[in-house]
Amino acid sequence: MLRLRTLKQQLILVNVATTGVALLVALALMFSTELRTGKETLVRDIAIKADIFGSQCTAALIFNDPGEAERILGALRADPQIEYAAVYSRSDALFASFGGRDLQNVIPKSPSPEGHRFGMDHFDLSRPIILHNDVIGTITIRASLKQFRAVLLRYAFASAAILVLSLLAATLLLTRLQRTMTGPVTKLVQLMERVSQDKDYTRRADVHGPEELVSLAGSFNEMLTAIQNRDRDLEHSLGELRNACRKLEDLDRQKSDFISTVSHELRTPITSIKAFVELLMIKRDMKAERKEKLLVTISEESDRLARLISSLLDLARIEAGTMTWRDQDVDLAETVRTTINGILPLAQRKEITIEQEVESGLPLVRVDGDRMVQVIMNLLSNAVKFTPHGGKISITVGHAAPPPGLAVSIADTGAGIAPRDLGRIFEKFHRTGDALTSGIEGTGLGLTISREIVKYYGGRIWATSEEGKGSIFTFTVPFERPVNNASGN
Amino acid sequence: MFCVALLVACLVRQGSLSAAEGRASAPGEYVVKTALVYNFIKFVEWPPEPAVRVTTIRLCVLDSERVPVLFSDLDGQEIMGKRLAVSSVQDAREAGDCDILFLTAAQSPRLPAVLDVIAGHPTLTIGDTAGYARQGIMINMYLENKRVRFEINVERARSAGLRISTKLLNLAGKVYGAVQAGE
Repeated sequence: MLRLRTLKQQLILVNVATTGVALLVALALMFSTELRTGKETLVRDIAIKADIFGSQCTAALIFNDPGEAERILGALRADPQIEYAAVYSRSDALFASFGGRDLQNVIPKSPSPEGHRFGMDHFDLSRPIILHNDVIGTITIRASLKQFRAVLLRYAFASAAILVLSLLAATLLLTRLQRTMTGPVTKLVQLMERVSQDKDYTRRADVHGPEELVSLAGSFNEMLTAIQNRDRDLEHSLGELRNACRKLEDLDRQKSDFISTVSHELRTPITSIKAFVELLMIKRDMKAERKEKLLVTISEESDRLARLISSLLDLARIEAGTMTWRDQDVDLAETVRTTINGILPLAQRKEITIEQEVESGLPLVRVDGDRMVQVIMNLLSNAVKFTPHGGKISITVGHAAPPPGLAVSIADTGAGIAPRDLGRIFEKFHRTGDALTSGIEGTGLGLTISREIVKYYGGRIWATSEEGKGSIFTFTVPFERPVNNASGN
Repeated sequence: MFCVALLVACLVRQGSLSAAEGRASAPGEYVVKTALVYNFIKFVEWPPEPAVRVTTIRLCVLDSERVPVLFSDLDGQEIMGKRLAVSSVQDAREAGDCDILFLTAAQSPRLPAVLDVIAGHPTLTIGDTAGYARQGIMINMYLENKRVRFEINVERARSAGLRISTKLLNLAGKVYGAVQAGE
């Protein structure tokens, strides 16, 4: 069996097979019908001839005139099919015959039984000769089947020709028509191959044709869409992952930076403490005055170290979300006032005046009072630190929105902050100016911690400044603390 | 066809007789003639008849004492679904009802008169005398080479409204009158 690989070949094969079988069956039926009707026609034709000629011979039979009978039978010469004809008397004796001389021995001496018989090359038919209901003899005719055979053969040839021509026509037609079927399939296959090669899932099948193929193409398109969506989701997830990764890397770098900065910050006071202590140990005969000075420095450095560590701990707690917040209803104006009292000695030393302006009838806010003190103190001490001798600090407390809450502003008459530094002052260990040369030494973490505390309560902290005229630090505390803001970051 | 050998084997009751005898002996000759007359009937068509007479064919013999005895063999025979009735008539005027009228040689002198009488009647006239056919007898038997043959006056038969089959005409020794198509 020939192996037919493509859809087109199989379609053509199926069609040719069905057409061929159908035609073969039809032609076989037609042929057998033709054969039967042909035989029937032949039998009827010869039977009619036998009856006519038998009837013609009645008088000759009855009046015993074989010559007349033979004259009558001679008319059968007109029919080339007839090989011989014979008339027999009532007593079954050969009465008269027609046929070639060579056939004289062939003609039987007595009639064959009534009816007809088909032989190989001819067929015999016997009919009784009847005159007025009396059987007066028998007529036998032998007809050649050559002509009949020739007709059948011609018919068979015609059938074969019809079969071949029909199959050819069907194949030709199908070769053209199969495109409607195989065209969409080929298109689909090509698309699939292209998609599997270049992974371009934006391609879509555009198929018109049989319903099943259109449905197949539709399913294929849905599949492509699904793949495309999944790809997009994957890409999105990948982007998120990359972002997270980058953030983690950033955080890690920040952590490393932080650690190195912290180490540096911690080492500075320890180095000076260690140096001064060693100096004291070596120079035991040092003047008491000088000794005193050294010890004060050591104490100050120790304080700074302690403050730094305490700040670091606070920051770590806030960032880790382990800070304990003792929230209670706090009068923010009162807190401001208390804190000012705390910083007052330092301010008076620099002859700085502190003014405060508080809106009357301010509501209480629910915060941790100590943390608020921490924030205000930090901002105030910065203000004092950066305000020159005889300067002025103004504090205002009032309403803020949105979100509804309170705002505290602390304005100084210091040098101000350069615009490029404004965005960075809340970062860890960012200092403006030289910390060591300034009067009060900070930890570099005060503003960061303040920002974290304010952020915890859902507020904002920012600074505005005009170089040479001073800075204004403002923070807000909303009445409602936002949910899910337990951690500082 | 001019050589008509009469074979009477076809007539069952007289199967033992053979025309091969050929002798003109009166009884033998008449046996053959009887068979012939019987067979003539089969090839003659009478005009439609009244219902009363459809079942019988009357065969009359005019003025003879001897012939009816011989034809009496046919009396009561079934032919074409009808019964043959043989009778003798003395006067031609009685012959008007006969389907077949047999005229012997004895009628020769008054033949024209007889034929005049039955003219217009559908009566088949049969004879066995030389010259009868020419004179107006429809079927006339005669002896030739010791064989009984017959001649037919088809014109006379036609004028009487009778149709004689072509098959019979083909076998006749002589036919008087023109044969028309369909006969």
